[in-house]
Amino acid sequence: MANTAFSTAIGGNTAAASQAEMETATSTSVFSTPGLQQNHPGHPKAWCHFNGTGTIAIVASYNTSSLNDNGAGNYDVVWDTDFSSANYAVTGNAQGASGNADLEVSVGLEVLATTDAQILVANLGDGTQASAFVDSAIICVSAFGDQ
Amino acid sequence: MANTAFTLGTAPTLLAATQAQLETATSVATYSSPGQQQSHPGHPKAWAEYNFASGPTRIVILAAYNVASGTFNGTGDYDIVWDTDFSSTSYCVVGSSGGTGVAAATESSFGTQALSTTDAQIYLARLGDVATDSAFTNPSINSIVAYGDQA
Repeated sequence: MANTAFSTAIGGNTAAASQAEMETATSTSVFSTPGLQQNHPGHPKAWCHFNGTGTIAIVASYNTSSLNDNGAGNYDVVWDTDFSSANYAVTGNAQGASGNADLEVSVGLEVLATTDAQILVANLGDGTQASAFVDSAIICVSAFGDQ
Repeated sequence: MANTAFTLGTAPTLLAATQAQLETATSVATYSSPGQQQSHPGHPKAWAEYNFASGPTRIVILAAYNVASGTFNGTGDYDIVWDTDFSSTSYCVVGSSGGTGVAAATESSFGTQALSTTDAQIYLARLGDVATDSAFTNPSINSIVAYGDQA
């Protein structure tokens, strides 16, 4: 496909995509800008790497304002800019115990709200030890949807 | 790194990056546009939030990007069908699942069973514990994200 020339940029007209144009994601005659490119429907809206042990803390993040510790392996990840509805996608993974398959962990989705996502971290368990909710030192989540 | 200067209306003309330029991801002389920015190799190509409905059991897509539908193959076994296909089966899928108020033993693990250019087959299994073996399940909250090269 040939490049599209931005003739609309000539003469003082803006050619930067608006939030609506980014969300529609069809135009090739306006350009994405750093301030709005996250509004593309395929773009991640938030991510967070946090330490869920002791006093929980954000290690690195995008569009995540804070965390809540609800108990063992039970956390709220609070978004900075909220989602427009509770229908959005969250994926996550976490660190388990070193060298012990039974204590590897799974990140579960508990509740998705416009303002935050509640997640649960549980170890796998085995035939002699029940799985249980556990804190993890490395928890990573990402979120996709409409803001 | 300094900004690249463009003089509007003079050569070189300001150009939108093509799919190929975004896939190469090296140009600083073209602009990304809403209709093409997803072609960047680091950009997610598809995602969805979905759950299950009964009578008969089927997948309900609650929110999505570039996901056409879901196919129910059996408990904890389903296909997520892409709208724009991937160019090969070498792509990446990640996901998570769960449900409100479930015990640790009934939390679920997200497994990638098979990847084709048109869809991804996913297995979901509950974790299991002393009293109950792990088993395939249909959690009430499910998310999937895919990264890779599209046709």
